[in-house]
Amino acid sequence: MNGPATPSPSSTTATQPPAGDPGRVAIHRLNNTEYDNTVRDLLGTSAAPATSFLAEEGLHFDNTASALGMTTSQFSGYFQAASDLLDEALAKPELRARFLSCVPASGSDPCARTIIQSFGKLMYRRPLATDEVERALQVFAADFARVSDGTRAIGQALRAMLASPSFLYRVELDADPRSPVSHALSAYELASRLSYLHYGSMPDAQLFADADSGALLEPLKLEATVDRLLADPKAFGFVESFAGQWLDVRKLYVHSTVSQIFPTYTPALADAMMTEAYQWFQEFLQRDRPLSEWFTADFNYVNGTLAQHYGFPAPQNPDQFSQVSVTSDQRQGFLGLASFLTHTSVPSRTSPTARGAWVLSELLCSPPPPPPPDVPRLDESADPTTMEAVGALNVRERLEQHRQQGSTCAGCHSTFDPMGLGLERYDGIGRYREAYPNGDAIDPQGQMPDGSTFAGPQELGVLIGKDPRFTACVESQLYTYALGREVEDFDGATLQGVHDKWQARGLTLRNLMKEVVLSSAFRFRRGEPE
Amino acid sequence: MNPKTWLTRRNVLRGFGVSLALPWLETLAVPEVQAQSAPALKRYLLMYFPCGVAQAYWKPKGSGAGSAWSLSALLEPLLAHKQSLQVISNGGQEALYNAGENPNPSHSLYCAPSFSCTVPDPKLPKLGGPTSDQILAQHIGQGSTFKSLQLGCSTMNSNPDGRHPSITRSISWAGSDLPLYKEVNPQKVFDTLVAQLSPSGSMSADAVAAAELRKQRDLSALDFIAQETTSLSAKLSKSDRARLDQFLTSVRELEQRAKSQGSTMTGSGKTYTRPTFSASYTERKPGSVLMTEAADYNRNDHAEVMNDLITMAFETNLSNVITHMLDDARSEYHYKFLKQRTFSGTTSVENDVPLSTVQQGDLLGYHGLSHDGDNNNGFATVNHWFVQKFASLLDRLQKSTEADGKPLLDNTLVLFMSGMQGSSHRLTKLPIVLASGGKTFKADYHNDFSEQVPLANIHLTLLQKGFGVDLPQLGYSSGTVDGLLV
Repeated sequence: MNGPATPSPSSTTATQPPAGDPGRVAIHRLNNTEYDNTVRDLLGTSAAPATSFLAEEGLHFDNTASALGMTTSQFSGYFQAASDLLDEALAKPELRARFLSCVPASGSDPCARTIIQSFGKLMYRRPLATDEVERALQVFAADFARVSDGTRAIGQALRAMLASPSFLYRVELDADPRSPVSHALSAYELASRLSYLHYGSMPDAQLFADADSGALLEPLKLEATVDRLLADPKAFGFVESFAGQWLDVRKLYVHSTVSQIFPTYTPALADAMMTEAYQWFQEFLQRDRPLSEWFTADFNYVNGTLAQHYGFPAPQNPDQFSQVSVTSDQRQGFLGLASFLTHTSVPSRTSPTARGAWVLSELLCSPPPPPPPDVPRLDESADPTTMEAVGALNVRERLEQHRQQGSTCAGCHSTFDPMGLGLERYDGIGRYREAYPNGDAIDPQGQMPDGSTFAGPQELGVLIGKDPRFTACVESQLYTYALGREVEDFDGATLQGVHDKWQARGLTLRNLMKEVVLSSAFRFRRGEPE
Repeated sequence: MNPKTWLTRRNVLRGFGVSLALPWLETLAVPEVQAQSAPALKRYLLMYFPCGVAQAYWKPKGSGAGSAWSLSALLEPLLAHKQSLQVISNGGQEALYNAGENPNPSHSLYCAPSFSCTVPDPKLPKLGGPTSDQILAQHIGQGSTFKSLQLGCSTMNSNPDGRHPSITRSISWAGSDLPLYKEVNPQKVFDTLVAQLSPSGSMSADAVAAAELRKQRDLSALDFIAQETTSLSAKLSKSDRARLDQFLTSVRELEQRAKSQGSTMTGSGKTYTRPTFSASYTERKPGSVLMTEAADYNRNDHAEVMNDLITMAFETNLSNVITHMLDDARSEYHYKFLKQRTFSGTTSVENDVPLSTVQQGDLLGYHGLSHDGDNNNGFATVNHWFVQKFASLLDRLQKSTEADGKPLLDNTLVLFMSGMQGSSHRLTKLPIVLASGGKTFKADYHNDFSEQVPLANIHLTLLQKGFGVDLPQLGYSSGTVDGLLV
């Protein structure tokens, strides 16, 4: 098996051990999405077998290696899927042509070796070692003796490989697994890190070629590769996965509302909200908008449904999403996106607490502690059937009451409630409003814990955008996702270095992607002393 | 013939009609584990429900045996089974709450940790130890094809309280960092079980040959995978080797299953029918926004079919240790198929209106209802349904008999409980009920302890005294609770 690649003379700078600790990523099982994407790209199938696998748990993100365990039920799913996938591939000429370059006529036909070597490289995402080829050939030969059919016997060998750890896990090897000395990843290992980051799938042909030549180890080539991969339509996999999880867009899959209160909240509207969130992120990623515009950018992506929801003029083609800039709508920046405003609300109304706590946790990476026991529900004095009915207290007043119930509540709530209250001009599904349903005017002013004041959501956005925790938080979110591991204490220096270089290049998502990919933590690893 | 055409399990069933006649197990005996002190119990089922109960309607009246106690309004559905029950009042986990990092009480802490009796890592999927069912599976599960089964009815992802989600969604952990994810799809459970059984009636020679070929090819592939795993493992660091050990264990277990496939039973007997619907986590369906569950999904049917499958696994001896989560720890599932009940005293009446999930303007899932007070009829209505499902399982375990004609329940211990008290979200005064044949553990009994009994001690007692497991301690346990025993 290939060990860490030997650096070519020109790439010494690329593979010199870095000063800091790059850490190590656990052997990384493909998660359900990565599995489906990988078999799609490898075999040409559209079967998506992982949709019937057991639901699995992520840690922060669903690609965190340390959280991806293995149980018998899960392995049983992989084993069955491998069998079904090869059955499908053998039955469809256009699929089997991907690996069946020849048909072995006997158990010792060299054709089998050719197939196992060439297709095996795609499966294991690296060239196979001699002993690996030999063992796979034994499976082939034994099966040929059983079924006397070269095609089926190849299917049997490939099916066994498709449920092997070298396929199911992304493996990165240390020359000495017990040594804490850092070393460069091999070019193939790096190709996998890049492709799973950008595509959530196996390396494409160009990545394989750049790994074969070792060119991938060059920093300039790496940078160019980030641009190349981002330009591929498959990079939308990154948008859906990273933004879907970081910004909790996926929560809209299961969010529900009280239909009597929000009759317009339909699956079509939720779908439009999600699409807008992805397009919005995509604009920052692909069109290099600086992150300083995250809270102030005055554009939205709408189709007919969402335009109506926002009170925008109907677009020319209501079935398609287009970018619009409506400056008179009291809505700008990320905090004006309906997806965010909706998934942080409860089914009947806004929750200023949840909105504020979400901004604190996900955009500033400063999660508040969980609530203590015996927390009373907020609404005890409210009218039982219609929220915020005439005469009832509005949310701000009831929160005020709650905070006065004890200093334990007030201490925490004062860190996130002001942000949520500053967004009260958007209702529980993100529509702009000036008054509560009970007729009370909405006061969007507030004061942040540091004493700075804001007059409304726009100023609030500006304040949050200036918080140095924001770009540091975006960096740490992407760093976590790109590496597939949690940030550790020793990452501090690396993160600081990435941040400095990112700032120097310009604070765009693409530049962040490049600096993370160029960081020592992405290109190097180490063993662990036992 | 392509073996695949015979071997998809659906085809197995098609070949034999809608239902599959399966043999009964007269010839099969569960291996005796510790013959000397031979505890009578052979099977264990943990039926878990989240968020505790509306305490106002839970505690039985009176205490002690027989007529000295009577069922409460929430326990009323169990009337026919009163003689099999021991209700334990005043069990709790104060020791866990006060332990270590002084964690905030949370749903996740009251879920898996209720069965390992350890404090989990605040972030990582590390529970701190195996759960009691897995310790038991090591002792009594060895003789069955599935050492243990993990089942559940949850179809929506729920909020994990900031801890690792596995801790709120898995109550079975094989080790500190090995959550055993539950299967919620009844069809998959059925297919997995049925693959191990030999259909009654004769199979054509072709079918027999195809099955044998398939088995040989499976075993060859598994043998290769095991070799690859061992070879790779040698190149890895210690913690990665441990990950591949999990993998290898899974490969070996599948190998064992492949070897015993279709050979479990001979003889004549029972008929099992493949469930007609499937279920899965809604969040995982790609490509479409799912605001609600599938139109034809019915949680009550789901729970009833799971009860059938639990009974089937016990009857066939395919598994002796099962954990079943009626819902996840912080479930916001809307039990809107239920009719609202009004509770008072020791009874409740069903109103001809759907469960009012909109209260004070909020659309409440189960967890939301639980916050609405310990005398909240909505919360109690869902609790009552959980108890009904427990009762309907006991119906089955009473009706199904062993070879000697005695009910399955005689040799079974069912633990029905929640790790949380109720509306207060505390972990004292937990709702705990045992159902058994009454030979080892008291039955028709309300055990109203005057001082808090540590939950870890209760689990330890069940394992040591009920199943003869030689286990000195579980988590923070300090001893056994002899008051549970006859």
